[in-house]
Amino acid sequence: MEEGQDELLASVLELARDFAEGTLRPVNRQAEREMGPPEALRKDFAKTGLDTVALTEPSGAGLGAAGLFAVTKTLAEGDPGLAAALMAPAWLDHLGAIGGQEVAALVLDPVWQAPSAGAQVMALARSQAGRALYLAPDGAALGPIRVGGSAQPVGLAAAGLACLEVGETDSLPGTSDAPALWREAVLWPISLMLGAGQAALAAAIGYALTRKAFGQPLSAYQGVSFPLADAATWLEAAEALTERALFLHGSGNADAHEAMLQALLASRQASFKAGDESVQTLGGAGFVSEFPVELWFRDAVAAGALTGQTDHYTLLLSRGVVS
Amino acid sequence: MRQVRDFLHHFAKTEIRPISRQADQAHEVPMAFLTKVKALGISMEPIPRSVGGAGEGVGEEVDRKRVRQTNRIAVVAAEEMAWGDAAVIITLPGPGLGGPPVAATGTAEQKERLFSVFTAPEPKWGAYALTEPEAGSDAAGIQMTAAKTKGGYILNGTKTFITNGARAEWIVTFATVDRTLGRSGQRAFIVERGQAGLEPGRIFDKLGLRASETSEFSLVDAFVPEHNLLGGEAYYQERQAKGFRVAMATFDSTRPLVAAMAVGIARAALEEARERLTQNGALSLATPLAGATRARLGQMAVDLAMARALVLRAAAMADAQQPNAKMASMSKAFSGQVAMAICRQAMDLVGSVGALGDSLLEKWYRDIKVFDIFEGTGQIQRIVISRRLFEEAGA
Repeated sequence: MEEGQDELLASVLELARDFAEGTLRPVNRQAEREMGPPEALRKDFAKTGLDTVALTEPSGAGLGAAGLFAVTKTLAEGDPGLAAALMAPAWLDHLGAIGGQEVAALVLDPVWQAPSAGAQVMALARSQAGRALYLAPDGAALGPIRVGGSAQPVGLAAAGLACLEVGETDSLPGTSDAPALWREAVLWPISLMLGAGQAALAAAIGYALTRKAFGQPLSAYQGVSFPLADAATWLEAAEALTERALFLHGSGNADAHEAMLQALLASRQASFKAGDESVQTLGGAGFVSEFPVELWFRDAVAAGALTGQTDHYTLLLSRGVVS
Repeated sequence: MRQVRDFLHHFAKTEIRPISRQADQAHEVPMAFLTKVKALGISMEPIPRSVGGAGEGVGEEVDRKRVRQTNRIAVVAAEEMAWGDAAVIITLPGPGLGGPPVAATGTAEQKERLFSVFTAPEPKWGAYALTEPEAGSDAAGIQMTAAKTKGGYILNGTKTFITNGARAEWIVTFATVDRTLGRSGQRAFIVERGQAGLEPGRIFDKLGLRASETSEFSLVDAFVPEHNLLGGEAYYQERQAKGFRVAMATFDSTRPLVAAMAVGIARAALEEARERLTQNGALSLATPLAGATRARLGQMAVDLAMARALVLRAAAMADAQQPNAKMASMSKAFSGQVAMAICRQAMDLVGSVGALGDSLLEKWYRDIKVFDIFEGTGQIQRIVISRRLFEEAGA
């Protein structure tokens, strides 16, 4: 990040934090039910200018993918589904500019790279009708895409995710630099995962400090506090890995792809752990919708699922380790 | 045992699984299904023959060695039925978690009166209320009070997370006659539908098991007659300082059942993942990931088998009338976490489509979490296990 950009990012994130806490969180259940953000919320969000964080000056803050990642993660700490929906146009614009392709669907599941007829993936697909981004190999013979209705995914319902299904004929355009594009595209689900994990963990810590059992706050018990400490450590590690991968990517380092693969896998594990331990800390209260922890737990795993099977990435990483 | 498993698997496959998604979306089990189940005499808890019930239910009550096998049959049944849908079977008519404490500590009159409710042709439910807004795993810290008065008790307080609580004919409800006495001050009461002072509370939306009704209720100056003190006054006078045992003894018999249900859900997820991966060619050796995917499925199957073995051991100990508290907790703690991991991995192996609402994998993933929470959280199971370990070591 260039000189002066750190301060700029800090002020942008302060604005994002306020918006996440004060505006996103109060409407997250409504947005989940309606499978998309309320229209008034979209208008309020547009006034913040947060979706221009990646655009070059004077149109935006000029913070690029790092800015998009940080803002999306901060908003996701308010609500991941809404953060996904509100920041989707900015991500699609940014990735479209890199890939040189039209963008309507952000597809990260590797199944899509060599699909057979009938293959399905979950994707962001309805926010920008008429534009498309396909992370597919050049010249891949893919059938026409059928965009199914919103299929009530396990989480991130407020993002308006849809199911894409491959048909029998036609082909889809490839991209000129799929790995580079992937490295930036995958920051979108990573930011949602880490934000969801952080939101759940913060709620669990608050609960552990106030809820008493056997005469003491839950936080006094190592059986409760140690797993939360582990979850916090995992989240920090995953975020640090992601920032390192971003740095390597930005500097054109040959290790950038491997680092981003590690960041993705670490984020999936860390966000699941944070969500799981947070629900567990709240016990029955974590299982019911009176508290949003169960929602964030679902959001974390849905964001991970957007990127498909973890073994695919483990295999890619193992090739690098072996060689 | 094999016949029981086969029969219930067929029932789960043909009757329960087909309504699973619909029930989850509607947040209720269709009444037509419940009425049908009732007519077939299928219940998750035994209704004594003395009141016109089916006794211990399906299967022979003793094995070839003439050892009681009702607990083993119950866990086999729980696994098969949960394979169909756990939320549906939790909603099956019957006494529910209220059954074991009534059977274990109720007077003859109470057993006759409370169990005979379920011989009616229409579906009826019982329930169990221990958890409060400020006392969950810390069950000894319950705050609901029971003040002795002429002819009975006045109960005040709130109970929460009650399975089938809003539809129950009666609820085994724990309250304390003296908070300073701790566990020994606790009593179990029968709160009946229509009880004056019974105020229904919320019915919760949940992460999973959405077709199962989970509710809360409050008692405000509710007069409960003496004949609804479970076991009667004599029971507590004979067992000073053991009032709490009524609550805990229930868990020794129900934890392996809950663990078996977790095994059933995990098995369903594993089978579904295997089928989908077979269909899409992911297990074909020509696929680069086939080795890793097969290895993961294999490890999931091993974990599942370990969980089932613990469940059966806990049930076998109960059948042999051996103390099984530690084993019951081990089966619950292990199965809850292993099943969670299997459901998560099954969804992961299938890819993003597994997270979509038309896949039961995402539903099982949501359903399974609570199996590490209700009937005593994983943390509580570990406390029970470690205490027993220390006790056995002479500490």
